[in-house]
Amino acid sequence: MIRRIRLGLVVLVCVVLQTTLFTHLRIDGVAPDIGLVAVLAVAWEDGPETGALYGFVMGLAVDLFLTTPLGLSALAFAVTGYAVGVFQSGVVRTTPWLAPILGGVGGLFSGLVFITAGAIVGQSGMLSFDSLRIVLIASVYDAVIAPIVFPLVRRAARREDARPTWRIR
Amino acid sequence: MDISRHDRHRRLTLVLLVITSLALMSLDERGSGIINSARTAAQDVVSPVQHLADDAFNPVSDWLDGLGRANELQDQNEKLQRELDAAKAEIASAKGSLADLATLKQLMDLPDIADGDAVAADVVGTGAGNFSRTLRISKGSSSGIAKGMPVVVGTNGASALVGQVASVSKSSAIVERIDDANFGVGAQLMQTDAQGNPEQGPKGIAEGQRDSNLLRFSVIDPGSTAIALNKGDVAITLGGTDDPSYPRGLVLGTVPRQVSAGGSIARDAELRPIVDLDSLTIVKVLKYPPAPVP
Repeated sequence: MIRRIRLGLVVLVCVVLQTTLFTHLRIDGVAPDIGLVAVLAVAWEDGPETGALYGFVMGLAVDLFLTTPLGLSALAFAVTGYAVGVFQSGVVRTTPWLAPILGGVGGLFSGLVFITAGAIVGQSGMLSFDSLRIVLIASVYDAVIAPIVFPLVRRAARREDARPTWRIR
Repeated sequence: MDISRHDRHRRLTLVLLVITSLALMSLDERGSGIINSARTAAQDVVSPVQHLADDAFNPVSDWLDGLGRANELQDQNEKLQRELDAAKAEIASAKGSLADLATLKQLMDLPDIADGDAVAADVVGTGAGNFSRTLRISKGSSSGIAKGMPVVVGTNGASALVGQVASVSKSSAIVERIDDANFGVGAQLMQTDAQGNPEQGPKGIAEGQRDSNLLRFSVIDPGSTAIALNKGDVAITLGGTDDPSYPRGLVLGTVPRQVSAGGSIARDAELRPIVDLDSLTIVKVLKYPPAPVP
C-alpha cells in the first residue's frame, strides 16, 4: 500500500514538473518526457506487467494536460513499459550506462509509437520530419535526465521486502 | 505451464490497456463531456501546485532568459513587445477594415465584441506537449473563460487572433495557438485593386502546419480561383454564419509570397502570423459568442 502511494506521488510530481519546470527548459522547442523516464525505471524494477500498467496510468495523467487525444500518451507509455519489462527479464548483466541507454532508447521507441498512433487516429501531420526531429531531441533529453530520475523512482518502486538487484554508478 | 499462463496473462493485460487507450482516444475525438470534465478536474487539482511551482521556477527561467540579453531590462522588453504586437495588429487590421466597414456593417448583422467582453490574462508558459503549440494562461473558468473562446492581442477593432481556449480549469486555461497543426479557422484575404482601393479577396481556411510556424491558407471559394494571392495581403477571420466560432475581422497574418492565379485550380498560400506567438506575455480572451441579452 505504501509503495502504491509512493508511486502515485511520483505520477503527481512528474505531471507538475512536466507542466511547469520543463516547459521552461525546452531545447529547440522540445521538452523531455519525465513521466516516461519514471515508467522505464518502474518497468525495469518490476517487469512488463507493472511496466505496462504504470505506463498507462502515467500516460493518462500526462494526457489530461495535453491537447492531443486522451489515451495517446497512455498507449505509448504502456507499450514502452511492457517492452522494457520484457527486455529486462532477458538481461543477465547490467552496465553503469543502463539509465541513459534505457532513457534514450525508451524515449525513441515511445515517441515513434506516439506519432504512429497519433497519425492513425487522425492527428494532423504527425508522420512528418518535424515529428521525427522532436522524437530524436526528446529521446536524447530523456537519456540526459534518466540518471537523475532512475535512482529516485527505483527507490519509490522498490518493494519493502526486496533487495537491490541493480545499481547505477 | 505456469510460465506460459503468466506470459498469456501479461499479454492480455497489455492488449486490454491498448484497447482502453484506443477507446479513450475515440471518445475524446468525439468531444466526450466526461473526458472534458476529467481534464478540468485534473487541472483543478494540480493548479495550486502548478502556481507554487511557477512562482519558484519562473524567476529562474526569467534569469536564464536574461543571460543572453544582459543589457536589456526584462520589464522594458515585455512592455515594448506588447506595444509592438498591438501596433502590428493595428496596421494590418487597418487595411482589411477599410473594405469591411463600408460594406459588411450595412449588409450583415454581425455580433460585436467590446473590450468589456474580454478577459485579460498573463501568459504563464507554454503547454506541456511536444506535439502541440499551446500557451498556459493565468485565468480560467472563475473569470468566465470557457472552452472554445477566441484569444487575441491588441485593442478593440484592431485585434489579432492568437488561438482558441482548448481546456480550462478554475484558475488557468490552455490555449491552442493558431500555428498548431490541429488549428483551423475560416478566413478571408483583404486585397487592394489596381487603383489601390481595398477590396475583399478569396475566402478559405487558415490552418496551422506541423513543419512550419507559418499558417496555410487554402482557398475554398470556387469563384476566386482566377485571383492572385499577393504578397502583403492580410488574412482576417471570416466569422458570421461561415464560421460562428470567431468574430469577423480578427487579423491572422499576411501573405509572405505571391501565389499566382490558378485558373480552375484551387491554391494554397502561406500566412505569416502578425503576432510573435513565442513572445506573448499578456492576451485577451473574448467571451464569444456574446451571452444573449435577457
